[in-house]
Amino acid sequence: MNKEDNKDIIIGQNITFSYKDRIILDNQSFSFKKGEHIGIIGESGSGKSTFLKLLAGLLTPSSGTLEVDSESDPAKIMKKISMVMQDAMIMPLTIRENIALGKEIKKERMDEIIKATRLDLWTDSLPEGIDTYLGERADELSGGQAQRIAIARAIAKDADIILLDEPTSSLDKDTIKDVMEALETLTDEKSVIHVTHQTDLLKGYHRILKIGGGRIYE
Amino acid sequence: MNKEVIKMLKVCGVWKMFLIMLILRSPFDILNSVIKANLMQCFIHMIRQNQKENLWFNVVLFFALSALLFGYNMSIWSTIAVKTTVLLQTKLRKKIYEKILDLSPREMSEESKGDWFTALNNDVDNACAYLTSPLNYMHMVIALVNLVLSSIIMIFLNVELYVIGICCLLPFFFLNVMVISRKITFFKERAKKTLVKYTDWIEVSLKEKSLLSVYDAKEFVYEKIEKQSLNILKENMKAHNRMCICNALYAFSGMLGYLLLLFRGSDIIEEDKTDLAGLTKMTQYRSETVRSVNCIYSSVNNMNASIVGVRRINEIIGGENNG
Repeated sequence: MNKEDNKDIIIGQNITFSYKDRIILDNQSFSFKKGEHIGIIGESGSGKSTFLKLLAGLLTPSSGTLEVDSESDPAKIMKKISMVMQDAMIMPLTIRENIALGKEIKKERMDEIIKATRLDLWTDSLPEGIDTYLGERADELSGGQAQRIAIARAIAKDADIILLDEPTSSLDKDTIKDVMEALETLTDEKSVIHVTHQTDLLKGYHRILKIGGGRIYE
Repeated sequence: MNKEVIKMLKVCGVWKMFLIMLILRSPFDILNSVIKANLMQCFIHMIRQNQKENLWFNVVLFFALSALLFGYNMSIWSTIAVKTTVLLQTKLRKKIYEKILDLSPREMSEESKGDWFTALNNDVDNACAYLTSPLNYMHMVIALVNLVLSSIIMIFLNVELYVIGICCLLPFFFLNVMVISRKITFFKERAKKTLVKYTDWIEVSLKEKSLLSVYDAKEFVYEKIEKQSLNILKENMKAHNRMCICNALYAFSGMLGYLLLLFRGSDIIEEDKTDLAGLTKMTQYRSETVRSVNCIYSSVNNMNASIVGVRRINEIIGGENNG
């Protein structure tokens, strides 16, 4: 981690959040530094994914303040982050459109993204390359291919903060390895908060935090 | 009846119930035609012969017979038709649902979720519409019975007037069927495929709302939904425009036939082959044949649109029959 980047990029103060009578965070404070890679673990249902949604500005804490890269407005927070979830969002569009989601991406940049995520190994074999229409039957994609598209989308956004919500939990061992390689490209020099129950994926992370009983702790 | 529909009715086990309903409902239009034509003839006779007491008796008789007929018809619809529709809907949804539950994840992924939603909702509605909704299969059979029997009666009354009526009707009928309305089913099928895409986009917008917010793609997806919605509207409008042209041609052919019938009818009255009452009876039966042809035509168009749903249902539940 670069010393001059050693500032807090996410600051949560006295955050309380409950979901359907279940307390996820009870007056908790935390801070994550720029460029820091944080692993989040916890029992099933402990609120790991909810915590990520709070950080992404998708949920609002019932009390306390949250600042992400000096922003507290949820709409502005969302612009600062990229997110890769357990189930990749694949739409009835071409591979290119699935990555760009309506944004203009130059050809050179798109080629870089495709290579970085190793999608080229697959798309080069398709007659229409990345302009192949995934159609309504996007479920036919393999988990690895779908997840690589999701990672490519996150790289295209080029946000400083990457939130990962068990992106490899539904993949087999070989695919996990490939997807993790793609994730390394995405997370290089970025702040990462990675929710997972596969603790071996968190090797080399700066900190591992646990969520449970309304607390977040090391 | 269409083989696809018979197959679906047999799979659902409502075949006999539907047949009974059809037989009970079939005589309605022709009975209505006979009552109207004969009483119109009677009324004119009585007015011309100044038989006021008999006229009132006939008016009351006309209302009584009409009330009985409509009461009978209503009871058939409200008891058997509604029950059959509900039963058919329930059984179809259950069959599709069971089929979906039996599918392996791989088989499930061969169709989009929009396909399954459309099957459970729109296709089932289409199938029921085909069988029991107005201007579909049921009305086509009733109109066919009315057309055949009205034609036979007209031939017995006056062959020449019948031929004039039919000659004014058939060219327009074939023009409509063979040229104008041929593409209606095609447009309806395209509308259905677009509906599947629309449902898929709706699903994306609901299921992925978090990611769409993060990637600032809500507007992008909304535009896709709007586009599909517009495409559905466009396809339905194309089909609707064709139907409008067909209806206009039928109205024109109806008026043309009526005028020719009156022209020739006045000559026949002068030749003492019939009187005004007889001619009125003839025009009444002619209007029934025109109405029946129009009804058959509209029903066939609607059936062509509805059969798309029946085909899709058979594709899903049809495997059961073979197994």
